[in-house]
Amino acid sequence: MSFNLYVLFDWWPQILSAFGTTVFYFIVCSIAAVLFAIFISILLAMRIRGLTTILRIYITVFRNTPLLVQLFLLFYGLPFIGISLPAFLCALIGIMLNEGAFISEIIRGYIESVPKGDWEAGESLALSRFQVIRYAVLPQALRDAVPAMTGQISIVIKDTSLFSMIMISELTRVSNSIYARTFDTTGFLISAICYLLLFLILSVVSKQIEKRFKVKR
Amino acid sequence: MNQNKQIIVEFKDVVKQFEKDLVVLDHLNMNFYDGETHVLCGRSGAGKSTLIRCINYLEKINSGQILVEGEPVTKKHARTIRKKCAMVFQSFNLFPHMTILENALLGPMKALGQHKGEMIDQIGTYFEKVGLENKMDALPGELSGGQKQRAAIVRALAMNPDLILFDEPTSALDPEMIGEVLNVMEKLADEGRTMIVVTHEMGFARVAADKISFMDAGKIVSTCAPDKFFTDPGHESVERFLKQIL
Amino acid sequence: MVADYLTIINFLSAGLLALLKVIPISMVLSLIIGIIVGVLGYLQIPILKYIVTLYVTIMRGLPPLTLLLLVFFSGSFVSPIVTAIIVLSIYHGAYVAEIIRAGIMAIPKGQHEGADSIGLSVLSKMVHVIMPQVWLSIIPSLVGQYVILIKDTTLISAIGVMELLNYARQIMQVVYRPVGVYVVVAIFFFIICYCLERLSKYLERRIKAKTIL
Repeated sequence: MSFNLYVLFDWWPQILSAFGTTVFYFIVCSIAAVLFAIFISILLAMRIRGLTTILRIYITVFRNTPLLVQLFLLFYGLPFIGISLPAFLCALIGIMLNEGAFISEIIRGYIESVPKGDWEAGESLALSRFQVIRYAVLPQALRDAVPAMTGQISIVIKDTSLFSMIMISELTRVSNSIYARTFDTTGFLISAICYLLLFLILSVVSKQIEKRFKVKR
Repeated sequence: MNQNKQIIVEFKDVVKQFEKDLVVLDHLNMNFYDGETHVLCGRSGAGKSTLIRCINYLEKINSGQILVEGEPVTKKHARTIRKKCAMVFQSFNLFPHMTILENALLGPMKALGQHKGEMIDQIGTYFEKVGLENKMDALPGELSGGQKQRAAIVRALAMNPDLILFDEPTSALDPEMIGEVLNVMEKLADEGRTMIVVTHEMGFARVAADKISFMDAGKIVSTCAPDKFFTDPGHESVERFLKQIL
Repeated sequence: MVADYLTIINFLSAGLLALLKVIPISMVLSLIIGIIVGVLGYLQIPILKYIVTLYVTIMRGLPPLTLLLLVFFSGSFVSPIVTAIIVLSIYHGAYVAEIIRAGIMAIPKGQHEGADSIGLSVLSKMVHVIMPQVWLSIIPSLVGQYVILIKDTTLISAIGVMELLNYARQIMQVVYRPVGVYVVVAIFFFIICYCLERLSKYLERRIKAKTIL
């Protein structure tokens, strides 16, 4: 394991574009996962009989099966039953469903810990259940959930490495092809540094977000 | 004395129980009248809070009927009834992520469908009335307990309710802040607002109430005007209660 | 069709053998690493504490797949399965260390002071007073981490360990049923992880009930 600078000189355009791809996928997938999770947790909080059971099953199944298998099902499985999605959509949907399940479980926890009195105050203002959730409960729960959510989002950075297995030229896949051509593992070291860099940037940003959105009670 | 006044809330043989054998409201019959400040007192656990929470459908009754302005309190009518009666809670329950102005605007805008522009002046006068006109843009977390409760009263007033329910509004306050909240409530009583107030503050009851009811074990034992309540309540358990707290 | 699925299950069960080695050994090794690093992290020993922080941060920031490929191709003399065990243990060891450190921090200060006041050494304080109390409270998070570890074993297919996904690829040459094959793989993981999740929820309730009493 040594760092050979020539790899960087010879391959920097590929590495740079792979880094861009990783960052792009990370941002798009995180946003999709968070929005989807918010949507799911609103539906859960609405307590619609039947729907709640279906959502619980969805969350349990996606939390307890490997992301890679989910991605393979989308990428190799769906075409078999006649639905061919581009790799980009497989990646996006895979993360949205998988991380969406984890994040909605986080949000649900914080929704449940909003004081009962705040629900009652909303109800006694004659708001509908959806309005109580939308205006009184969810904004508090989301603010409380920021630290746990950013923790989960930092996992999405790592999840993007699995996209290498469904033909997306992100960091890990490009390092792999550098290795295949040169038998040099420097490419992996470079991507490791890129991932760490992203992780550290996200940590700093999330500290700022946490400070900004903290709810004083 | 009640003939010339309209009944606003009517309890007909209302039973409310938690679990199997904990009866909180025991075949309760009671009328509350328009324009009156009606104080409910009694020991903790007598069922006072449950009584007013039932009016707002925050608690479901097991049998009997409650009518608010002639309309039965049921799940179906809950939202129409809540538009008419506002509630002030013991622990304020202001939404911590909104300024107190936003708190007050939420109900009128989202539940009553009013526009911000037409509400804001009126809500401003309410904030002036409770002495918070300079704090409208503060978050609840930046206010003292007394200020929070006054803001919660503005939130209730903003709904333009026919009736305001107060559920022990000063019980969660530090002693030095109780006065500022009671003063606001006295003002409202003087304006002729219809209020049902659960409280242990007998001083407030004496000054501001039109009627005082004493509750014991899920029943209303005695209802009378303040003068009579404090001198000759006509019931032995009320006398014992008064002796203990006065 | 039934015959297809019998073939699939037959094939996949061969892949279980590898997992039966990788999963338990990685669990034990990551626990050992976690205990050592977690306690060191708690003790805040000069210089060493920076190394601990560096290790934990790197593991939290690195994708396990990248780590697997880096280690495997850098030391190609080691077999895939050994690489898998080493990488998964080191990677999850960092998370276990954080769980254990948090567990120690949650023990009331009085327990430390009590142990110090009867003149225990740091080591015997940890072994006899603190750690026995830590175990109980961290079991749910530990089980949760093991669920992640088990799901991460799918990644070792990338370095050629013959586990479920690589056998799945082989089956595909015989029976082309990608949905069926991957659903069977998913069901396998689901059964194990769901049982562990229930177990961890159950333990959490039991522990809570006990500490409240």
